[in-house]
Amino acid sequence: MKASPHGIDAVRAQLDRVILGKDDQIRLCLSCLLAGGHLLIEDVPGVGKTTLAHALARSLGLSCQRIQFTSDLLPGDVLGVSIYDRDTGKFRFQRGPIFAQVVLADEINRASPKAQSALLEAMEERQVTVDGHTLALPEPFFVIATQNPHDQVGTFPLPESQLDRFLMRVELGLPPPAAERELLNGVDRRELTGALPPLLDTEALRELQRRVQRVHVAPALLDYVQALLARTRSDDAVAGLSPRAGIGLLRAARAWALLAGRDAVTPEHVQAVFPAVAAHRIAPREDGTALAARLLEAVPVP
Amino acid sequence: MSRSQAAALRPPPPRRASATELAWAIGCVALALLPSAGRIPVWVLALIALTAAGRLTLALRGGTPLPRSLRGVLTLTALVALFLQLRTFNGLTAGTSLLALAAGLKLLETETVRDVRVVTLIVSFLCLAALLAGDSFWLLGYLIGVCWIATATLLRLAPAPLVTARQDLRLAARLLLQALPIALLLWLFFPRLSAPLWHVPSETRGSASGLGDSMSPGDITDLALSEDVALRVRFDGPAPPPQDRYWRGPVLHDFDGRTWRRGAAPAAQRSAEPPLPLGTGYRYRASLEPSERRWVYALDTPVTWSLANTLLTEDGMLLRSGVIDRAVDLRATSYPRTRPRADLDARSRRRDTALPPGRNPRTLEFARTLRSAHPDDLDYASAVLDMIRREPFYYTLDPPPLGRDAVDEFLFDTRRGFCGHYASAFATMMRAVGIPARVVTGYQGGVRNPFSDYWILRQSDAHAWVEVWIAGRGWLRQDPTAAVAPQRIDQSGHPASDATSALDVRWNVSTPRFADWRLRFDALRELWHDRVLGFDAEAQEGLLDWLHVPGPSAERLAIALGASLALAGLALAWAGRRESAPATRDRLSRLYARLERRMSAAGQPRLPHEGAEAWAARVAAVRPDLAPQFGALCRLYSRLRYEASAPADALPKFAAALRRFRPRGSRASRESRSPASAPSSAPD
Repeated sequence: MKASPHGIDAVRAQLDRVILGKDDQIRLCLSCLLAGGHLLIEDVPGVGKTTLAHALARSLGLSCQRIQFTSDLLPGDVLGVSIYDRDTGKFRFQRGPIFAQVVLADEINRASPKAQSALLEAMEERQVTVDGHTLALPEPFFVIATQNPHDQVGTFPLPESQLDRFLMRVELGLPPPAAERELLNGVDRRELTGALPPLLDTEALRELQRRVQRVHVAPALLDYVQALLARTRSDDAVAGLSPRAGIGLLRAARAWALLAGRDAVTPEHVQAVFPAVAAHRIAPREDGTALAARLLEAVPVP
Repeated sequence: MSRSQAAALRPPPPRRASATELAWAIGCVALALLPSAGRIPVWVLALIALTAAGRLTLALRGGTPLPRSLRGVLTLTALVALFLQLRTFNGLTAGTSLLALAAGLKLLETETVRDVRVVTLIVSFLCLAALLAGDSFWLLGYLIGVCWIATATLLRLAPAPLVTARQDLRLAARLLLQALPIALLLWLFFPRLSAPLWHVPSETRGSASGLGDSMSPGDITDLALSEDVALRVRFDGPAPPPQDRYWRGPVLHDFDGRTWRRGAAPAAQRSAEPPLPLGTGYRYRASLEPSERRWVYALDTPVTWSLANTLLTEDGMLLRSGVIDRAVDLRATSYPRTRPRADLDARSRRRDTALPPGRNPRTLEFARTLRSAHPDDLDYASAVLDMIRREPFYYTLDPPPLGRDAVDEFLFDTRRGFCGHYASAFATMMRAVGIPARVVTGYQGGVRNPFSDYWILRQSDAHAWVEVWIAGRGWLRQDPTAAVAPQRIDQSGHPASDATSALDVRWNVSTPRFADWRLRFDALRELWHDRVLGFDAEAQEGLLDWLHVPGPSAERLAIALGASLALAGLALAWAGRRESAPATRDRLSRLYARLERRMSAAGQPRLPHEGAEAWAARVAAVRPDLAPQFGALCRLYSRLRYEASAPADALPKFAAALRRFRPRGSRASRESRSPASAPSSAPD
């Protein structure tokens, strides 16, 4: 399979057929994955969060595991446990669902902080240490987590430090009327997802990720990114973006540029990914998207 | 809204003024009061000093301020006292005193920085009041200095003051300098009104010196010692010779044997038949210092003059309807030689030949004897002058006292005196034989300021001479003082005022350096008076004419002024923008800025946060007619700006495309666009 932008375009087209009327969000998700970042999809139930995650994994040709987070989930349920093997008389490590290229963490805010942190540590380190053994996670390794923002009873909202591990937070939102009509008329999305053919493979995805790194960033664009970062830090209403967030923003913008078929990042690309990258960092508890849009309007483009 | 945002919106608690800040403001008030201190009642000044000292002590040592009720009582008492003293709240003195009281009493209730700011602002009004009272060059300079310090004080009261007072002063100076062009514009173009919008009731000055409407022996001595300037004169052409530089003031007709008086009769009558001018005249502008008198000094004989409410009387005086209580400028043309249109009327002849009966018998007798030898009027006058020249008459400002028959005693006994004595004696001699004669007082000679080519006439130039009526030739000036032999001029003790040679001695020889500087300063003052204070409606018209503004009117001036101010504002904004914009801008940025200006003119400006391509997409949606060219331009810009290696010819291509790109306004395009080609393409 060719590792070309055309390949990724095919993926995008296929996802567009599954999740209707959400092209921007799909682009964002793809950018996030191409940039090698973890993705948090946030919205009310039933708008297709899980479907999107599944479709993503399948289309990219990656192995996928789903973890339904609940309040009684234990770290072992995520990472795996050592169990006694009667035949050999030894403990054998039974790998948990995290050992997959795409881990779908459903309703992550329902789990206890203990279980959450098991996942989030793995996200950052890309390895798992259990009983003194360190096990590398597969390459590439994505976590696509979903959460329901409105359902606050019995949830454990992710602390800021852990939200920071997600490169993007994407809100799906309700489908536009035409798309909803088609949804009501069409086949079941889950069936559709099951039948999706993989369009890329691991090697092709890695190649795409390398190409993202090669997308050119001009000094003028760095000026703009720095001005944006400085603006978030000088604004009293929001928490300033960290340097890590800045690096992530640039990487996401590069991926977006690649998706747009460009070999250089323009301010428009930065602006396209900025709300998704910045919103959950600058205002974790409030409507960060609107704040992010306001920040964008406050920084002139060179 | 987050908590921090809410906190930012809440106003900070008012900052209390420190003792240093108070001291600055009090210093400003003191400096601003200084020029007006003479006019303000002493108790007001004392009250201000008291409140200032009290407030400073409070700031330094702490304590309880005066209770509100007491402050109210104090304010009321002060106002009532002021009214009782001045009997009015109108006028300059009352206004200045009220302002001073306001500043002083405001100090009592200053707590926060804002209050101190109010006190500092009163300083500006005090400066204005001081300018209403005086218009000298030095006063303006001083008040600008006060404004400078007041501005620095305001800067020190700012929320984030600069560290040192020196820095604040420097910034204040910069601010004032930046205001200078606007001040200049306002000064040049603010409509001059022929009549002032308001009138500040003038305060009578007791100190104005000058000639009165009567002359007794000894009167002019006081003036001869005064160095006060009476008038300054600038001639349009060459200055007249000394024998024509006689500035006529009051003409005195009635003589009681000792004192000459103006009398009442011909005071304000307009001369029915002015004399016919002969030969060439002199055009000049005379700036008269306030004299608190009605007459206007002019050369013999003014034919045309421009000064409001001024008439020429029958006896050739320029008389104003009101007293000259502030400096005025007279523009006039005078002809030294004239011919009368008619013979002297009987009433005037009777008046100007009258002598008090039984006085000066020796003079009358002598006159009759002399007359028998000289039947011709002019001959007779020459003979009298000749006698003065021949006989041992002395010129002195310290003459012996004279008794009842003053002329007799002067002519035959003392023979010492100055212009008043000579003029009085000469006129008596004329009248004794029936020749109409009158005494004229005024100024004579003057000194030319070599630094600015104008003439200064001081009170010490005051003079008295005689005019005699010669049939067919009219009133002829006779100066008996000039007949005194030069060697008999007494220079001891007092400066001699009448003789020009003596003037030269005084001004140029005795203390040359001092005189030099005095003239230099006077030239500066004259320049100020001429160019700045004298910039009236006429001068403004001249300027506008020079600027090719046709038919200037108040409205046009207002428009010009508004436009100039708007331009100045734009220039300031431009300068501000330049300051905030990065200093180095490459060619691409300049080209892009041009594109932005053109699109702005076409009604599609770029939003500041909009990237080139987003802009192109937005414009394409509303102006498809522009889309192909504009879209290409924006893509090209984006490539040039953000891509790794744009082709070498990309920038020239961009420039060329930009040159071809001339977007028209939205209306034109809407008309030319057919419905079929309505926008169909959404931005990509």
